[in-house]
Amino acid sequence: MISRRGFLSGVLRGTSIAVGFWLYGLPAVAGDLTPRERAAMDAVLDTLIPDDEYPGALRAGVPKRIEALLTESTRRARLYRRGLAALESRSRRATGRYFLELSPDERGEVLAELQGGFGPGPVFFHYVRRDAMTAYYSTPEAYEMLAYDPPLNGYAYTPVAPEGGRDAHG
Amino acid sequence: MLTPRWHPKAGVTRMADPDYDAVVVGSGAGGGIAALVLCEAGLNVLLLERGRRYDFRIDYPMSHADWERRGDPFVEASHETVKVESGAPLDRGRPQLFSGTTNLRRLRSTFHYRRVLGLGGTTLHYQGEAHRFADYAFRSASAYGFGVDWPVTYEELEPYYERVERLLGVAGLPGNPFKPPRGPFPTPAHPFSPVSRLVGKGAEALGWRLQHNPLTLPTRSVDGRSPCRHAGGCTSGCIFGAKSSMDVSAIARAERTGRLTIETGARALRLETRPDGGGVDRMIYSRDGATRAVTARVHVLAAGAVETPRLLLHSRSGAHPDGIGNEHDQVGRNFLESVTVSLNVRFDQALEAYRGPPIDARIWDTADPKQAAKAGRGGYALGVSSTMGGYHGPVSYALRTDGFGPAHKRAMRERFGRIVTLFGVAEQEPRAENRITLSDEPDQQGVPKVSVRTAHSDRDARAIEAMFRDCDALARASGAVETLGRHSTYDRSNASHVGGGCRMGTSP
Repeated sequence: MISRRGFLSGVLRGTSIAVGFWLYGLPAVAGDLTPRERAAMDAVLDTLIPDDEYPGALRAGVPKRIEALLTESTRRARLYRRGLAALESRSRRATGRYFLELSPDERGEVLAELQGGFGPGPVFFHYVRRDAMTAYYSTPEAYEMLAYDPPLNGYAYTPVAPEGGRDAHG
Repeated sequence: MLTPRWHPKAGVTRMADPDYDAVVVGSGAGGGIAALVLCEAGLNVLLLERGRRYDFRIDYPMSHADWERRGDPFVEASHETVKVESGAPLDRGRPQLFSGTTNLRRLRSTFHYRRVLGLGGTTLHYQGEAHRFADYAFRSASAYGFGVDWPVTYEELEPYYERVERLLGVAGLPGNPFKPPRGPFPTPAHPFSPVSRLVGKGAEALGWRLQHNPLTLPTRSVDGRSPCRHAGGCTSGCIFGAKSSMDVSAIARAERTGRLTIETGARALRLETRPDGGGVDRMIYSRDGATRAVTARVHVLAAGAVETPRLLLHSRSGAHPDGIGNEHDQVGRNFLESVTVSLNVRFDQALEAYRGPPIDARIWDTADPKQAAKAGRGGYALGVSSTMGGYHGPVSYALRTDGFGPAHKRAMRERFGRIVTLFGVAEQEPRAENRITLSDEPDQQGVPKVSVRTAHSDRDARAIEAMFRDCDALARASGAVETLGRHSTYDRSNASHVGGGCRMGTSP
């Protein structure tokens, strides 16, 4: 049996969720980014951790890990959406172009400005940098770049070369 | 007065038929060993532990690929039961004592320590350092005018040191000239890590010598456990069960006697004495939301330097108006925290600092009591740690390296595995005014929160100044290319080691 209070709070909760969707747009799946958001997100990740002699965030599969994170947390997803919107408006204001259309150097400048600005930008920057670094530096690609063996099996010490120089793992 | 009517022994004449021969509160280095000794002597023992039991094979972060994102499972913030007092005033005229370079605060940060809850207590978190006190440390007041003399001597303790070292399979190398002469260790010393070998050269240039640290990280199997596998990360629990924390060593052995009962999730609240003013009658504790009582012939309080004084102080009665054992107003006094400095430094050669026991060596030359007394302070030991500064695996390096883009990635390749912490640890001068009292503020279970008042003395400050000077010199001599941060407990409390609070009397 449903109590009066339970019924009322259920109705109220339903209404507030409906109002939420009306305000923020109905997500297909919580955390899903629109194609445009996804493209901007990839550009952000590529700017944070680009390819060089070693694979960057995109080639190491970081976007998938970030999307999984956003699916887990609708709160984080909302923060990312607002952050990406702030990024686009800053990019348009500063250069007249979308973030996607900028050169790597220009993207870096816009991101740095976002970091030092106010509003949702700096919060977004803080989280996206943390999430991207955490995801990337747990990948086999990053481990290879750093010649790092994870500690799951323990280590045997290797002799140290007399003057600097990295040892072979063994 | 509490009457646990549901208790099987309730209503029975209690001392004629106690529930156990002994109750031990706390399962860390003190309680774990006490439980074993009592069980081996044929006593039936109840061990009360506030935390839970951990399975080293699955419960610790490093068993998982995403270990860097998982926190230590058993470290609990202390504010729940400790009332934070405002910090002590600082001398701004002595900037050389402060953390950082431009940090000129007026008050010391409030008392900060991390408590470990779990079967094994703080040994779950420790890095296995197993030092013997030097012989002079037991008479440092009469010999050097520092601290207080102990009512026991090194010679009296020596057989017990040997016994516990055998039990824990301590790895080490005899021959440290700053410690009393001794026989071989139960297991051979670890080879120096690449970090220690490098810093050892720096130490030599300064006329010091790096000594192997005695570690409860056996290099050979003890009791069928794995020897140390050099995975690092000892502070978040050893995933091989190699580190001799109490749960896998002393307590496991005590369980095999069949005379040990363990209750986890049990928090000791207070002791009750016999109405005639005689000895301790029963222990009141809470478990699963219920208050319980247990009787025993012997009660061992081994709940640490904060909780043991609280238990005694909170056990007030008509016969013991100031708490048990507090006739001389000594319970809670002479509380000791850590006096430390640390420097995060970067080297420009590959060190793979994430490998191996985090602290496998120490410098003891600076502990010389004569020199220290001449300088008007206590002695201290220096060391190098691969993880103390929070640089451990790739993620922690990445988050602690500023910026992004190609420069960040380059910096990662230049820095990873090359940042270590040089540190000094001094013994705090025991002072009566550094003390633990009960506050007026109750915690969630209605027990008064502990109030901790602690500050560094002038002698402590002089030790900090000297340790900073020595760590700077060691960084230069070892070829460090950058100092990334300085930390001192003068302005930032960071009590990873606590002691005192229940001074040993001369007549038991």
